[in-house]
Amino acid sequence: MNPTISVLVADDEPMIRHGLTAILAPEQDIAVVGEAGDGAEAVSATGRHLPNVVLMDVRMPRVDGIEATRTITTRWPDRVKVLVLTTFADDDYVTRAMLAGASGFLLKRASGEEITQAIRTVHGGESLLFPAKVRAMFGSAGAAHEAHPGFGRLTAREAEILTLVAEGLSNAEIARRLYVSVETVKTHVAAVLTKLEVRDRTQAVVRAYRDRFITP
Amino acid sequence: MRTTVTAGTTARLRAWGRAVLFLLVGTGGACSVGLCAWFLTLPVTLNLDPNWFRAALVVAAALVLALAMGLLIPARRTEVVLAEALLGARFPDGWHRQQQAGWFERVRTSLWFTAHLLGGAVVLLAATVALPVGAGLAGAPWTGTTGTRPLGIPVLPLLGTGSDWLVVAVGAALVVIAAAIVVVLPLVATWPAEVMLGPSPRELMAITATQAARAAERNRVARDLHDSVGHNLSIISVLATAAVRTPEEGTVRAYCEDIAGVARSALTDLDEALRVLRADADPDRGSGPSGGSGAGGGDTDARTLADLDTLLQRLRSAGRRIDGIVPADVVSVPEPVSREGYRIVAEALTNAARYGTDDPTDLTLTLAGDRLTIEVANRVGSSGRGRRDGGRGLVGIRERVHLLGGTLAVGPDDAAAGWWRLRAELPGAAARPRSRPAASTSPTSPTPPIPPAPEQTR
Repeated sequence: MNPTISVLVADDEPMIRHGLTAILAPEQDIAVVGEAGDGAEAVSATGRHLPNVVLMDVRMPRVDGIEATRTITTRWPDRVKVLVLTTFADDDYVTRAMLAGASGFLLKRASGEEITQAIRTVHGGESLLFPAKVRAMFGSAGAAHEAHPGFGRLTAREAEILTLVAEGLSNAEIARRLYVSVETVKTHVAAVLTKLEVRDRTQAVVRAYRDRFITP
Repeated sequence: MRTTVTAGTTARLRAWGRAVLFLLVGTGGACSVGLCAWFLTLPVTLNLDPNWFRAALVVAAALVLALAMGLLIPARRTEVVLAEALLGARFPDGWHRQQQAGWFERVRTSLWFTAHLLGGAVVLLAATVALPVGAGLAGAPWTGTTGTRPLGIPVLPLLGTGSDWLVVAVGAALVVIAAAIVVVLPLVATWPAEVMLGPSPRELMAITATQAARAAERNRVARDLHDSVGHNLSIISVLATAAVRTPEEGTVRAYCEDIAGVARSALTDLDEALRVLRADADPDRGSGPSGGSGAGGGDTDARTLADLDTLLQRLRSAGRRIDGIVPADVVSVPEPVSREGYRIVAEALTNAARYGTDDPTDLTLTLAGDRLTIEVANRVGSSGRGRRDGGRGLVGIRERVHLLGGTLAVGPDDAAAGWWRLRAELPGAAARPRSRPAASTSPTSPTPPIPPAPEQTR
């Protein structure tokens, strides 16, 4: 029995909101708990409903999706994950939203299965959504960033697992690769997230690239 | 192999022939100018004694005449056409619209024009005087034409009575030099033509500015396409996916209606973008008359309230009914405001056509003090669904209206149910003496944080 994933849809285009809600309606384990028309509404609605996942459009009036993502992921770091809605994957906004704390992005042209799967992946947090995209974000050398002290405290095993996470492997795949149990991998991943002070594996990988712990 | 060599040689021969023709045009010019100079100086030269002094005076007068003619503006155009057609000179695309008539450009043209005539004269002299005289000299020892006096100058006595071989050598050299001039001069004329007639530094800057403006305009269109068509297709994709996953037939039908509406809107946007790109690809419809450096790219940006009549005419002929008051003095509104005003009216009328009913659209422009007020109202019928937030195109307009210090309110009319109303107020609309503002409208300051919109349209 799956626990229900509560979802908030934030987009300034009502037709997109209605459409996404209708797309998610048949799913047993996903429930749309609210809609928001701009970034400010998204933040207040998140406070009201505390959804598991926020589908967040980037370009919205008043407060844009990046700002709202930053607010939400700072205010409810352990509770709410943000999935950025975008028209084009190579949009500069996507990169900025990921840096602001989004756990992944979702193309508006995705199929129903892709949309629901993306929500489950981000919610479950056991594998990384679009590892290639995260890698590409740092393809061109960005500004040198002062490395988070947590990287220094990673054990050799944790560092190895972080590298595999960055390759997009799920916990089960890492377990198979390293001949350890899934539970062990989960423990290591949790330790990595704690040491790096990040919310999920997407953010761990973003930080690993940004701080040049891993180079693309 | 052989055929290509022959083809290449033929092409080169033809090019040389055209270049010779170019010099012959110079010859013609030189003859006319020389004749003019001769007649003009006749009163003076009649009483001059030494022949060479008389000739020098005529030549000097011809040079002055040629230089003066070269200063006239048509000289450059003529020379450019001749150089392109006959010398195969290449100039930057579209630069002729950037030509400026400053002294620097005129003097350069004048020098080139004079050099062209001189070149023509030299070829004429080489072909008709130097060649036969040289040949005559070289053959003198055998033909016994010791008394040859070409142009009345006794050549042989000048050379003294030295050996026959000296005479032969000088004659042969004359022939070779004359032949070389006739053969080589046409071949080397192209490069100096490009240098002397081509864009001056000032014109190069103007060309660069125009190209930059055009590139910016293309980028803007690309961005608009990316935004609007991408946005609309996303909606279509999401709605279609939703329709597939929705069991109730009535809802599916509603989604399909929305999809059809959005698809139409995407097509309209695409049409508009392609229209701009096509106009842009046609250089003659670009920035107006020559001289306006950086006057700014394409054709949509340039349209102002003065073009409103054309717009209304076009929409009316497409079957839209528009009731409106457009005061005549909107034509005098300064450019940035006028341009924005046009865009707002165009966008509002397009949206009305897209979403409104077939009832007439009300358009009111008022010019009071320094404020221009634009009001567009249309009936949207009862179906609230499918109505977008006033059109995506208004997002950019709203930003620019804020930059101009104005306000824009769009939404359902509170006072009249079933009506959609757009109201824009732009300051800085007071008429000022009609002169082209030098500064473009593009603001250099970063976009200020968008203040909370006074209206909310959802």
